[in-house]
Amino acid sequence: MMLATWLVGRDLRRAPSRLLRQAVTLSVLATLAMTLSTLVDTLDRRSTGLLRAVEADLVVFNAEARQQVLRSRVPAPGMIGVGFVDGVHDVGVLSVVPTTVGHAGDQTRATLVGFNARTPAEPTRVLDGRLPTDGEPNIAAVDAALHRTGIEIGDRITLGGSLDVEVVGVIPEARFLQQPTVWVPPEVWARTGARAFPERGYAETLLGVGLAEVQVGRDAAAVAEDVVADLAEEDLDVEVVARREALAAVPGVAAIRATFGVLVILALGVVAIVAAGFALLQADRDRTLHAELRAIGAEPRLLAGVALLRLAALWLTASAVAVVLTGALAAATPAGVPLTVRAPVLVVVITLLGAAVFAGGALGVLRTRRTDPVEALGERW
Amino acid sequence: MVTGEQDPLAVSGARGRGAPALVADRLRKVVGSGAMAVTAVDGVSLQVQPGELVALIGPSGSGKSTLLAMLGALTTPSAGSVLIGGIDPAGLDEQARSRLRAQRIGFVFQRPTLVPFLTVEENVALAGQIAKQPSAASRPRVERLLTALDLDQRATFRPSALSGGELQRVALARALLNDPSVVLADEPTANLDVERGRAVMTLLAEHTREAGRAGVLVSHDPSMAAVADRTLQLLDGRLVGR
Repeated sequence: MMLATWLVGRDLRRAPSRLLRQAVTLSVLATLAMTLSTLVDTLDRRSTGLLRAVEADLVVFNAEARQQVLRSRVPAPGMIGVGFVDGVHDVGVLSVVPTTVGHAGDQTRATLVGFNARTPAEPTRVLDGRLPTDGEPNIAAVDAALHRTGIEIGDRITLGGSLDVEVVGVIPEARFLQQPTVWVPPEVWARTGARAFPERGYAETLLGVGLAEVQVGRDAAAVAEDVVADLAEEDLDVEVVARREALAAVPGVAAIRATFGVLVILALGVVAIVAAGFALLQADRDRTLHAELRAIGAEPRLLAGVALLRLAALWLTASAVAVVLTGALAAATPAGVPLTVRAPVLVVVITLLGAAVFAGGALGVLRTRRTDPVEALGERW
Repeated sequence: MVTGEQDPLAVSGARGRGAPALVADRLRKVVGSGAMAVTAVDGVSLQVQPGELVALIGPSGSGKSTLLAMLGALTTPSAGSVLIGGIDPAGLDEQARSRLRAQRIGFVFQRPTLVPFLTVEENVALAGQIAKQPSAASRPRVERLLTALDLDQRATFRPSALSGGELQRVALARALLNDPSVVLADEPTANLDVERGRAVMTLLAEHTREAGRAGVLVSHDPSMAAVADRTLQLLDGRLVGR
């Protein structure tokens, strides 16, 4: 392997243009895959950030809500009962209502989130300040998306055009259905909701969804069944799903994942085909050289090692260029465009790119290994 | 890793007293199959002693390349056998055959292909690296060979900057670096002027006669073939004259 590494190192140092030409082509495709992946990730997170901001294992909807957070209404006493089901560690309630946030003369559409403090319904991270606690009137925390519009801790904002609250904390971006969120105690949520939509019957006793944390070591699916059975005994018809399922059920998420998922897979498929083409061309171009090296004693695995290392260099170069291009594209894009680069997404795409490059390049490596030196040299002997 | 197996290249008596360096016994090679099958080499037997240079002549398509490929353990005969320093390459796995070629055989091709991104001296030294020779041991030999072949001024050049004749001489230096017991050369002087052709033949002759190695040389040039100790003529895959 040392000799293969030495050979590839010399090749890259003295004839970088050959690799760079191929890397540029792959970089364009890699940038496309990264941009599409970032787009789907951002759209997904902007739809589901609310449920990602909390750390619940199970989400309790009323049965008619069909797993829609906006439509779900569960009675508060029933949710308190969930906390006593065997296997449930803790429970809280999360409720949402569309609202507007007035600040410094501007109105921003947002989602108002009522939550129980110190329960699984509480955001897990606070960037600055603190979270409101139950019973605190006229207090709110905003997510980073609202914070970026200029709302600071200590500012007063107007919810739904009529209720003034003071901002006491900032949490990471936790959008719901693409809108930023304001986090308030349940009673503030109920009051604001009742003013904005009197016909919907918002009340402190009829909240949105229950969020339950399962005890360590317990099977979440079995606990979910127990919760459903327990509440059925109290004539409450609920649906309990894992948080992952609740995320997928948010309106538009399934379509976003399916549509962009296909595009990302297509881009990676093209990467694999292009990498295969490059590797096969390389194997054909070096056929005589490989035959001659075989004749002077080079083992097939040395030549295959050179081909694999060259593919690795191609993959890493294309990935590095694509990361830079995607980052530049995201930086140059207006804030409203859903393109927020996250390292885990890039790592996944780079890994998949590697798989595509090596899957495609394997054809070239196989051809290199199977080069018959006599056939390759035969015409010249 | 320690195993109970012996190195197959270490068991041979190699160039023992009077033992031929290269033996071909009733070599036969059929290429293609069915109606397309062609017998490229048909029952060729020969022996090359240490210190002997044999010239192989014959028209194009007479089977010279196939015979050289079998003598150099690049391809397996359809029938018959080859012994290189007492070793039958047919009994070795691919890895051991590669090692046999690296350590015991030197190839020179008519139109050599060098690694394009390595310098002349690196291309020559590569043969030593492939044969797992310590670079400290092979470096003086690289320099000596480049000087003997009038390439010392080209040591840091890349192949693209060399003439055809210079490429040929680099390939010869590469072939001789590991002091192989058998050198197989195909028209090694085809791209050289008379003077340089003579220098190449002198080096080949020195390597075979003075160092006691065996050489098989394919050439159309009677004056070059005349340098050989013996001349064998191949026609339609058979030896027809000696």
